[in-house]
Amino acid sequence: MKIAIISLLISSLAYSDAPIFLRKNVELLRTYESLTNVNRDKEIMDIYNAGFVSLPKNGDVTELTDFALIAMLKLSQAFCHKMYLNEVTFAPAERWVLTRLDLKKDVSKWNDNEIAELTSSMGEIFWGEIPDAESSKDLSEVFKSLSKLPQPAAQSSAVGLTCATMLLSPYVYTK
Amino acid sequence: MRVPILLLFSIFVCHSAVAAELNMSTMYSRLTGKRLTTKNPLYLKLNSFAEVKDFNSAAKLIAEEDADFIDVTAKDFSTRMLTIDGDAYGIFSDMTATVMGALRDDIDAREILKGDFLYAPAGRVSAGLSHSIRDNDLFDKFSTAGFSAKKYIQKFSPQWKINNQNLSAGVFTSRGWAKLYYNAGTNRRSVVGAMNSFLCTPIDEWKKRGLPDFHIRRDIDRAPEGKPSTFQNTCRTCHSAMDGMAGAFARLDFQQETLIFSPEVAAKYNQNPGVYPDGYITTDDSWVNYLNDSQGSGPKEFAEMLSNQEDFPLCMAKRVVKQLCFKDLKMNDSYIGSLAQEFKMSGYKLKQLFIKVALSENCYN
Repeated sequence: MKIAIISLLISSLAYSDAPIFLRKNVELLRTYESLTNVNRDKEIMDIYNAGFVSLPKNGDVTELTDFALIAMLKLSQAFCHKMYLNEVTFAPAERWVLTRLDLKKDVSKWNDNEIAELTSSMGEIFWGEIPDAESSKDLSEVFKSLSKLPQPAAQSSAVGLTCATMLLSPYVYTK
Repeated sequence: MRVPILLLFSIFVCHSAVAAELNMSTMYSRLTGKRLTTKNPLYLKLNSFAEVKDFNSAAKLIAEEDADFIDVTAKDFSTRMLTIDGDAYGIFSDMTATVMGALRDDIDAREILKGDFLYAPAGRVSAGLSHSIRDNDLFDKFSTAGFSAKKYIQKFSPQWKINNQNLSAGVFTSRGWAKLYYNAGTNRRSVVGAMNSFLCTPIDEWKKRGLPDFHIRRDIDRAPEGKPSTFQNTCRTCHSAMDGMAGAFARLDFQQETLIFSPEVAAKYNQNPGVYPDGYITTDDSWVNYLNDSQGSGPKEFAEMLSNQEDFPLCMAKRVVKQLCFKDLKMNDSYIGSLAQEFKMSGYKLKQLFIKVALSENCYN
């Protein structure tokens, strides 16, 4: 896993003159906070502290280990879960990201347009752009797989884990 | 796992296809550590600056308004600069807060070394605590609670109400520095730390043969394992300069978690006199820098000397470039030289140095 990811990073550098660096530990925490609009609480800080030593310390790409990715995934999942709970609480217009979706509707019944709306809304906030066709297709598959889980887990998992998948992206963890 | 890996691949290739150039998102990321989003309160202003390519105003806005420039970037900068071996996991203390505060308030960076002030959390977030020579509780609790230093730290001058001996010298008389460098030992580490932190000169680079051994104390064996040559060729090259300068901290100590200002020379300065009875006896806090033929008394004059070295602005420029651009350039690099010159001309304003580096093309290629 580590070799695969590092190879991808190094090979992709050929496309750009700008060196790429990883966000460091607290930078990731602040990035997740600002992207999801979720403030850190004890539960999040416990997850952050548990994975702290695995998260990048200096920002070098060699710090992108499988342990680092797992720590990032756990942290992003925690933020995304709380973001989902916040989004459900508010009326669509008052939400942070999902302002045009009915979150009460069973996710297994969402159509392609609704899933595309979810990924494009998150893409705009998390990545600064709407995911391209290929990424949207992959994300849609992730969402559909998760939506088949039994309820009520499916509802939060489909939205939360799709969110976490998007946060676990070089768009987010590099600078 | 296949889907996420494919996803990472497709996302990353698209992402990195963007050509290297100064763009708002990258500059924002470097200055604050986090990703710029359309939901950011500064986004619209930054976007309007980007449209007319006014990156200078944008960088200033970020440095002034975004709390994470101080809370994340300045904190990391300060911690790496001041802790032993640049340990980024160092704790938040009066020492790190003072650098962050000086950066926030655009204070002459030389004052970080010699000013009679410290920064500490104040107001309702301090929960009745105040900064103390005895503990780090205020900073620990503030840090654990996740409060913003940009918002809540304040300048305290004089540093310590108990201190009427005119010893105050910026971070050198902070509790954080004392815990690192005056705790046990012989205070020689403080010289090594100061040279490393503020002149970017590790001991290997400033040890020198042939300097006077007059100030080398009695606790240093002049013939380790019976070999005088070992002292002459190894020990003396470091201790001549180090012991000469260490006198500056002779009235400072750290015992039982407490920073101590002593009217007398700390006992550790004259410990183990039997090792070499003819060695130097410390009687006051005078110091000599054999490396540049300067001398003075106490930490304040030592800090004054240090902050007026040509290497100080070079070191600050080198550190800021490393912080923002991830480049570990040499002090004699022409880019570092020109940044150091501008830093001096600006009145040693660290915030302006950060902005200058963030705007520099050299940072992104």
